[in-house]
Amino acid sequence: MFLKIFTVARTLWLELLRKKDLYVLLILLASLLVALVSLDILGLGGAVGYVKDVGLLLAWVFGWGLTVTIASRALPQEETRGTVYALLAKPVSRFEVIFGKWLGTWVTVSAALALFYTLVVAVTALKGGKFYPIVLVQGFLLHSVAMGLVAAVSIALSTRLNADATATLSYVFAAAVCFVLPRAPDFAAPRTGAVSTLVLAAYHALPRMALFDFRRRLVHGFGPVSWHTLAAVLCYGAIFIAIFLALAWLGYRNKRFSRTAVE
Amino acid sequence: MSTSGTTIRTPVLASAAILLLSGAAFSLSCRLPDEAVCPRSLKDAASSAAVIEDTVRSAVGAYCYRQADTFFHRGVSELHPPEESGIVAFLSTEIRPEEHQHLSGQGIVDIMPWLEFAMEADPHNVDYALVAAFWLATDAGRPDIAHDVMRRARLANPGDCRLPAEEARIYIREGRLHDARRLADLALSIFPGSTPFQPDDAKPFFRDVLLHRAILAEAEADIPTAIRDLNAILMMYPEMNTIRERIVHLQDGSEPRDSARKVLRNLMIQYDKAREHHCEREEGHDHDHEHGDETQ
Repeated sequence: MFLKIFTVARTLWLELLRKKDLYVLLILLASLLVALVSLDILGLGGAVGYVKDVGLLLAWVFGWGLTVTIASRALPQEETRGTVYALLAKPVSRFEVIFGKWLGTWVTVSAALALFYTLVVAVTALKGGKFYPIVLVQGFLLHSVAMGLVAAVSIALSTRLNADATATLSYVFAAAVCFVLPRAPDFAAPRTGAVSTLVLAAYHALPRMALFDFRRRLVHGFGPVSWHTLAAVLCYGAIFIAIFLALAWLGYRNKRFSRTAVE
Repeated sequence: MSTSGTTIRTPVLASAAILLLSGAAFSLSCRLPDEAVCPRSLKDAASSAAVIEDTVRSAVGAYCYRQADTFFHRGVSELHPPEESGIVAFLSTEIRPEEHQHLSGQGIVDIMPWLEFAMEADPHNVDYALVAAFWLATDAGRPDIAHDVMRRARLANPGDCRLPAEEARIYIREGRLHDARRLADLALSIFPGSTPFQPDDAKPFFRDVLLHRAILAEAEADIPTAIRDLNAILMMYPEMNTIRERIVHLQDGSEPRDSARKVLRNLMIQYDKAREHHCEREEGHDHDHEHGDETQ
């Protein structure tokens, strides 16, 4: 089973290596960071907080974009090309396809994130700043799991939608959980009845992406969290990933394919 | 042969054509009346574009200023997470510390890039320059850069009397009393100017700058000016007995309890503390200030 999943993931890695998305994002990030560092801010040399802040923000934005782009295309592309027939004709279950695609996406995005973080650390060091190594590792782990969660959501959506619709809805979902969901209790507080219950139910049922955002600790020099806390948040992320992959499997297990339907 | 001739001639012909067309365009533009080039509708559109640009600049400036505020509070933004209990809330506060802390000392330079971006985006918002200059002159220990910031802001806002008043305070902290007096004079000469004072703020502002100028004049042995300014304060605030006592000392020629320099030093300490402690977020937070001078 694991070998089959790994094989499906490997085909995705090989395909992504041929594409230019990652290289373009890496060059763009490097250009933006170099431009940022080259700014002479009032002749003050010691200000590096803004480089860390903007660098990590860009790592999040680019990581998010890369994850949605890869994950939303992974399944629909197989269908539009017709390669899904050849894939499913092999002794591989639909769950293995789903999990393989997710694993391929997650590992690729995590590798990209590692490159993004390395770049941010290098540019910060160039400006005379530094990160606490343990905090950096913890931040990277949480960021990586967050992107795994985003990939799972995109793959779940892509089982029933085409690539463009999946990408759009994934971005809407991302915006909702990042900007709208944290304000849900404030919205529900003055209300009563079904609206309040529904809003609070959504608040507790959907993942809190802020839990994976370690930028405050990284940028503002806070120390690491305890490994117990980190493990708990990683488990929290893993549970949501499992939920969305299960939904993806439910949406995919009996799906009938037609070439025209997903174009 | 003919091919190479064409190859050589093509760029020459193209350049000649471009030159000819440019000349024709320039000649035409000189002859066209202004109204034909920029009719009223276009001017209206241009003014609308200017309004949009101002709005965008103002919004970007406000965003950068909020970022500076967030950095000043070590990453804790104005928007507080909803109060709740449970494991997720616990994890959230562990991952994202919410303690109310302030940057201090050299750490304050981390807010400067955001203030600089805010000033670049919206040079007419004087608050950005005032905040930047205050922290540069105090915690960051860079009054030279604070003066640069003030000069830039004064060029963009020549009618705002808060700027020369703040720069006068920077000079007082540096001990450059003559320059401080010159700036205090300037602030009072343009008061209220274009300064958008709140209804209750103008009078205390005027009193403070008058007081600074009076004590600066006293420090430079210009007693008549000092007495005149102190009397002006007394007319506005008759209950200020310390001012009345100081006038008596100056008129008698007797030594007041505190020298002018000591009074100036105390005034700056009071002013700095008031600025450092003026934090709109103070309510509803646990205080864990990191001001070094508070513990001393």
